[in-house]
Amino acid sequence: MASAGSGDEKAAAAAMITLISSDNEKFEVTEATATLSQTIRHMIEDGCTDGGVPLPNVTSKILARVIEYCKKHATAAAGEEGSSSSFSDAAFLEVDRAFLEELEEFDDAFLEVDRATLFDLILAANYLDIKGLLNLTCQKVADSVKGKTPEQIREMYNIVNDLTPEEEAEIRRETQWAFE
Amino acid sequence: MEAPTAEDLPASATEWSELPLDALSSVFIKLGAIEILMNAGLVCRSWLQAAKLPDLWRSVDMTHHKLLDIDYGDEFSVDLQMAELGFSYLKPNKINGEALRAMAKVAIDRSGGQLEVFVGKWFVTDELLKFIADRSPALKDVGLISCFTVSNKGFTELSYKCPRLEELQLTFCNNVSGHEVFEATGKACPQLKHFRLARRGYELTGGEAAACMAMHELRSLTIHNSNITRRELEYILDGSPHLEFLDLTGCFNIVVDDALRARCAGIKSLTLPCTEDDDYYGAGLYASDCSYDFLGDSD
Repeated sequence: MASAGSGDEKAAAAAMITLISSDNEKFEVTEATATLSQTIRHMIEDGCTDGGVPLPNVTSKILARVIEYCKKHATAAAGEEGSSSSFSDAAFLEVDRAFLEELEEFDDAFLEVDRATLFDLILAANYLDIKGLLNLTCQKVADSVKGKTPEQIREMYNIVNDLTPEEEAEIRRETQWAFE
Repeated sequence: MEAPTAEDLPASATEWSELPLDALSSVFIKLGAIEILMNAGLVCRSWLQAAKLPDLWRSVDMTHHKLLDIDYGDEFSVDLQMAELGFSYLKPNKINGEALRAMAKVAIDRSGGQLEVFVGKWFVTDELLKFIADRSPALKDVGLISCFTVSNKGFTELSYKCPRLEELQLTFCNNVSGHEVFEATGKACPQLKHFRLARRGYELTGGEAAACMAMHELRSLTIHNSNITRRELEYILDGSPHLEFLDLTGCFNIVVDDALRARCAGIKSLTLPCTEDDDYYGAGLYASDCSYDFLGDSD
């Protein structure tokens, strides 16, 4: 509690946080990794992370994946910061590009999951407020529904059309172009 | 460790209709207006609910969708006018202007008065601009591309009703012409920071382009294919002290010399029509027809 918000960045980077999944598994992560989550960042700022951070909405399977994402992206961010002062411009750009390429490859591989996992990752990213992860996972969903009809989307994601006849009629009035 | 690409497994264990609205909104924002209105927003009740969140409609971009693609070919403008009239000889999956305007109106209604950005193509008419202007007091950014039917009157009314405009793009809108209309825009929208003006061919006169000198807060200015002269350009530079980006591609009337380069020294990103050194950006494209003599001959 005392170290939080002390402003000593090195100490903060080395500080460890314990995250506890819904099935009670404990994960030790650095503060730099954990604070990619705005939700956890606020908890740290409020000094309420002693004894671990319980995450009742996230299973250990999903939390492990989320931490994998945060570790990678926290390292990349730290690498960029560190390199800016110690390299010439050209070398910095080179390092920068290499980082970005590596990160992109990581993201692509990270997204190779089934739809159920993708769904859980979105829920976790939304709950933990991890912007990059939410963007990444939502982009995958957006790409998959682009150009598909409502019926095709329902089939793909196993969604039941629960619109009432009244609601359907209202949409039809408003959006008759889609039904011509 | 995970099953690699199980793309086609049914997602039976999860309820995609129960995604939180925030998360759905993050998905929808990546789809764009037309996809949301025609497809994703009609899937089920919760997806419809997400599709009606006003925040989603602050920015309405109706330029990137296959429905808008028309076989341009040689009959470019004829095709557009036929599409405008609803002629269905256009490919069967194409849509007519009326349906696209109806969609735009739904999008603007859903923004609940919060519309900040609107970008549209050939289907935009004066009447649609009026609809937008009357409902969008926060409008900051408008882009009109190949909107042949938009007139001076329609465009000027928009600028008068939306004085908070900061960004404006008019590309291939050949019926918005004459220096008066751009002067009026400059006066009506004193906060205008980014202006892009381009016509097809070499149809934009220097006098029209020079009307941009009335836009004193400009940060970026793009003028393509105009016979604007050196003197007219200097009027603009005098009138826009904050200019950081200037692109004059295709403005072959301007002779680039050291004095002009010096005059533009404060501009961070500069694309001049043609230069002595061929490796300069954009120069290669127009190298063959950028001389003064060419212009003389062509006239």
